Amino acid sequence: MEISALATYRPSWVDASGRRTLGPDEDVATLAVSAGRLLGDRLADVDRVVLVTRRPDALLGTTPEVVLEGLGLDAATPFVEQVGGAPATVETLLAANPGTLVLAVDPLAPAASAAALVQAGSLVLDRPATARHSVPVRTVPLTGAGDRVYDDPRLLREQGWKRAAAEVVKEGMHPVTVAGVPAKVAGSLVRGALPGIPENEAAAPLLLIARAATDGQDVRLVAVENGHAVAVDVTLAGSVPVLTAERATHPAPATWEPASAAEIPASPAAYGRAFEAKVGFKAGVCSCGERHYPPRAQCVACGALDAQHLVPLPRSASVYSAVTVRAPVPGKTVPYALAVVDVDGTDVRALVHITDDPPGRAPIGARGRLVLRRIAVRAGVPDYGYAFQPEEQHA
Amino acid sequence: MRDVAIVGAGMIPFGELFDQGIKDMVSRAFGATLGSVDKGMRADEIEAAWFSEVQSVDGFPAGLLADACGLTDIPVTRVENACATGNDAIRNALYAVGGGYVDVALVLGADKVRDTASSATFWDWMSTNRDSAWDLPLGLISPASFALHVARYMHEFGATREHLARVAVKNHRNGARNPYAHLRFEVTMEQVLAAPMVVEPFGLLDCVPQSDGAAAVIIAGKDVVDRYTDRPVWVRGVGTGMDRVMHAHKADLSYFAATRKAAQRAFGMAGVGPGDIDVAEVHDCFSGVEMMTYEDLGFCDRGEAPRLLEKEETSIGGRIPVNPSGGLKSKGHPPGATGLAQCTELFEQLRGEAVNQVDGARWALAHNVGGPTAVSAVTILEGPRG
Ligand SMILES: [Zn+2]
Repeated sequence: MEISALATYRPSWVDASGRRTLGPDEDVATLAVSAGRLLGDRLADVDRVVLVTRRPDALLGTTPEVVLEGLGLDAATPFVEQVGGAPATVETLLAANPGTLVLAVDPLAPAASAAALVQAGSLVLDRPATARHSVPVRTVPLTGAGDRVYDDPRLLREQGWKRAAAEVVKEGMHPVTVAGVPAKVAGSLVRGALPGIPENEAAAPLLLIARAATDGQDVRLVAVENGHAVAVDVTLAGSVPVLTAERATHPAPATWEPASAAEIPASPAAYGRAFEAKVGFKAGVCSCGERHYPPRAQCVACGALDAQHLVPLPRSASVYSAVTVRAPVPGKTVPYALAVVDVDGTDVRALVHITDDPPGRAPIGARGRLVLRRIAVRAGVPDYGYAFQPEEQHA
Repeated sequence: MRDVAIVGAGMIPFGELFDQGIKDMVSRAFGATLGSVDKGMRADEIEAAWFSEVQSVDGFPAGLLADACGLTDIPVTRVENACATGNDAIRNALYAVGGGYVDVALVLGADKVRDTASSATFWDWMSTNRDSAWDLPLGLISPASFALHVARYMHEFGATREHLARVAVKNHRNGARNPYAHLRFEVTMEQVLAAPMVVEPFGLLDCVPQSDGAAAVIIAGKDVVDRYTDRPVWVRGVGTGMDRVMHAHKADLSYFAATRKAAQRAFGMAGVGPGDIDVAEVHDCFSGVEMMTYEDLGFCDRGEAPRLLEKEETSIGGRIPVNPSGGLKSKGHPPGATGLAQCTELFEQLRGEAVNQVDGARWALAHNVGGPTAVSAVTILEGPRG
């Protein structure tokens, strides 16, 4: 089984413990897109998507539709939502046919996402091994309540992670790297293992494979969760592209909760009509060439009715005007910044939130990119659209 | 089309009128307006009425006005055109009276915003005037919709928060003396600049309060004006202008295209220009909006509005006093009543009876903009000495 390209994404915010954590406008769907889109033109080869996460946004929601549209993939592309942690990601890779895009998302701090394009390439996974024991020290309830943790870290380590890992490490030439456990444990779980990383759920194996590819270092990857372990050899036959998106971090506030709760009215019918243009960032282009965002029945230039088709817009833009809302708007996380941005190479403007920086940092003229974000939650349903991510200022 | 004049104008004090329902407010504003007619007028002399109300409360708006004012024997129509409703309702009535279909018409504006908890109804209000799929979830609240314009203007022309604060200081100074104003106190530049931020660049004292209120004018055709007054105030020009609704679609946020169009129509109809105006009531829902509007109305050249404020040319005693009533900023802004209250102030100004009288005022202008910034209405009045 081979991988032709990898991508990794970490959000721009850190919690009080210094761990990467989601912005108020991010969730599993946006994280999946933030990593997946880095693959760029290579996505043209994708004919199947598997999204692995231990913590889906919802058991029934809009994640597949949003991720497919956000990645610019055909809405009919088969899409599997796979619930699982680090071992599940490795199993998903091993089972994937060429043309599969594997997305792995960890929405809880330490948050990250990663993507792998399964396709003939220079990164080979082989010599798999699996061990499975019942060690339910950490369980994750369905309801969204906090994890239930049986208070015996040594039981988890010795009877869970360590035993299962030992059974799958196998003799070999490659140094071992361990996914699915805290960084401080990873180096000691298996004798001689490489240092770990903060992420320890579904994204962790792909982040470690990406690290191996970047370093040009063959490894034996061991992914563990409770009493479950899966291992593979990761062997590099040549260089593999690894695309990363990680910005300078900002401290996240203690909570993103709105100052006062209020339900923002929703119309699923109206959202449904807007969906492809709004989530795919597409303009309605008239037969006369005029671009409309949002698309509309009548062309503003030539007056033609129903003569528009949807075309993706460029994702780079600059701020035409911007303000910061500090009043406690019910149901919104404040402060938030609103901007009208000029989309590069077009006469299209868009009204958007500014994201990934504390509000007020992007003045008129600032340049940046449009990225998929969860704009609001309306009547319990997430509403997605594009937000302006300012370019980082390199001092 | 025949000449049309305002023969009566009145209002109730604006404020958080927890002790009055909208029907009470409407009845009392109607009474005050009838009572302002120099030679008297009976309610049954009114042949048609227009009700300027933005947000319906307590039921069917036109029926509410007819019932509350004892006008169930004449046609009543509700007009809604966002924050430009008041002056746009005057335009509607003017067409009927000027066209000769009725001789006497009532235009009454009212809004009751303090009967509902502001947070509970916040999104109900928002969802009546924002695109549901595209703009509503972004939280483009009213101060933000105007601030996007003002921020761009400040960027292009070097205006500062101090310039905006000058508008608030001036209008509060005027409103403090107006017994009909909601916020009857003066503010200092330091207070305005130090107030909590609402939407940058607007602090709390750059923003209108949430007010209840009602105001009205009675207009009459030239043929019958003499029955009611020897000092009519002539409605010489009306104009309503539109712009694209979404901010992303407005050609240039550094001015209000709707205001320019409305003003051009009103000036064209009146046959006068901005230089002829002696006093104006301008839509200062947010301080910077008044500043920008000086240019859109032609009171100064492009980019010169901050200079007008620095030289206090729009203060009482200046070249073109603006908002002698205190403006929306101090007087309050019940949206449907606002345009009518502006014309009530100007009716008094042009008859020499205003609290903050502009000496010798002959021509006056009232202006609204809203919707968000997609509609404007302008009314131009000429005093009886003309
Ligand atoms: Zn066209």
